[in-house]
Amino acid sequence: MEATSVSAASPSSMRAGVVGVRRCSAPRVAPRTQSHGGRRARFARRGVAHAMLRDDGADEVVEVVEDATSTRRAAMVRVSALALTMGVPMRSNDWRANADSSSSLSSLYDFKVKQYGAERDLRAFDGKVTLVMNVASE
Amino acid sequence: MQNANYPAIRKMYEKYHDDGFELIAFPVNQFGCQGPGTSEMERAYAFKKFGFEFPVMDKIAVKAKPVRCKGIDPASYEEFKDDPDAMLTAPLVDDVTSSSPESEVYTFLKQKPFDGEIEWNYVKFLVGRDGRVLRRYSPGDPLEQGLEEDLKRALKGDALSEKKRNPYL
Repeated sequence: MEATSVSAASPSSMRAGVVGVRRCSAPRVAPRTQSHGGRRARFARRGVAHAMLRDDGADEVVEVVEDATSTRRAAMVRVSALALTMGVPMRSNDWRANADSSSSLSSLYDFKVKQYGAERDLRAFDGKVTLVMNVASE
Repeated sequence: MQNANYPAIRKMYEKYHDDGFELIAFPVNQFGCQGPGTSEMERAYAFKKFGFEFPVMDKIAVKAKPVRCKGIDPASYEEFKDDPDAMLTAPLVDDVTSSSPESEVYTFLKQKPFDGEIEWNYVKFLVGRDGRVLRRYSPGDPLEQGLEEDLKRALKGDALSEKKRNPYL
C-alpha cells in the first residue's frame, strides 16, 4: 500500500488553525476519543501534515484536521444545515411544529376534540357561525 | 371577566342560536390556575353560569408554553362532584392539562392575523360558516367590542367591518 499519497505541506503554507492533514474514509464528524485527541495533540505539536494509511479499500477522502473547537463548530454547522434542509424542527415539542401541521387545515371544522372523554368531530358545526372561547371556573 | 362575558353571550346565544349561532367552550387551567376542576366540574360550572347546556369540551392547553398549576384529582371526582365547595376542599394534584402542549385547535385559531398569546380566560374567536376565523376579541365585554354586530354580519354572510381584526395587533 502507498504510505504517503499526500505530500507533507510545509508549515509556512498551512492556514492558521490547521494542524494536520490526513487521509481516511471515516465519517467527517469523528467520535471524540482519547486516542483521537492525543493524535491531534501530536499533530499540533509537530505542526506538519501527516498522511494516514487506510487499508480497507474504501474510497478515501482528505480531511483537514483542525483544532477541536473549530471541528465541533463545523460539525454543528453541518448538523444544523442538514436539519434546516430537511425541515426538521429543532425541538420535537416546538409549538411551531404544531403550527405547521395545523396550518395545513383551513377550517376549524376539520379538527377533532375531546368531550366527555370521547372524540368529537367539529365537522358537526360546519355551516354554523361559531364563537370559540376559553373558560374557567374561578 | 366572567360577569363581562356570561350575560352578554347568553343573550346573543338566545337571540341568534336559531339563525345558526353556536358556542364552543374549552375549559383551561393556565391563567392564574383558575380552572382547577376536572373537565366535568368545569363543564357543570359553565352550564350553571350560562344557564343552558352547550358544547363545553374537555380541558385543554391554549398557551404555547406550558404552565404548572394544580387541579382537582380526577380520582376524587365522584366523591366531590356534588360538593359546591369542591374547588376549595378537594385534594389537588399537578394538572397535566395545564402543562400539556398547546391544543391544535388553538394553534389554528392563533394563526395570523389573529396571532398572539392568549391573554387570559374568555378570549373569543368568531368563526364563520366555512370554519375560517373572522375576528378575535379580548377577554373583556364582547358587546363593547362589537361582537353582536359582527355576528349579525357573519350570519348573513356579509363581510365584517374593516376595524382591527385582532385587538392585540
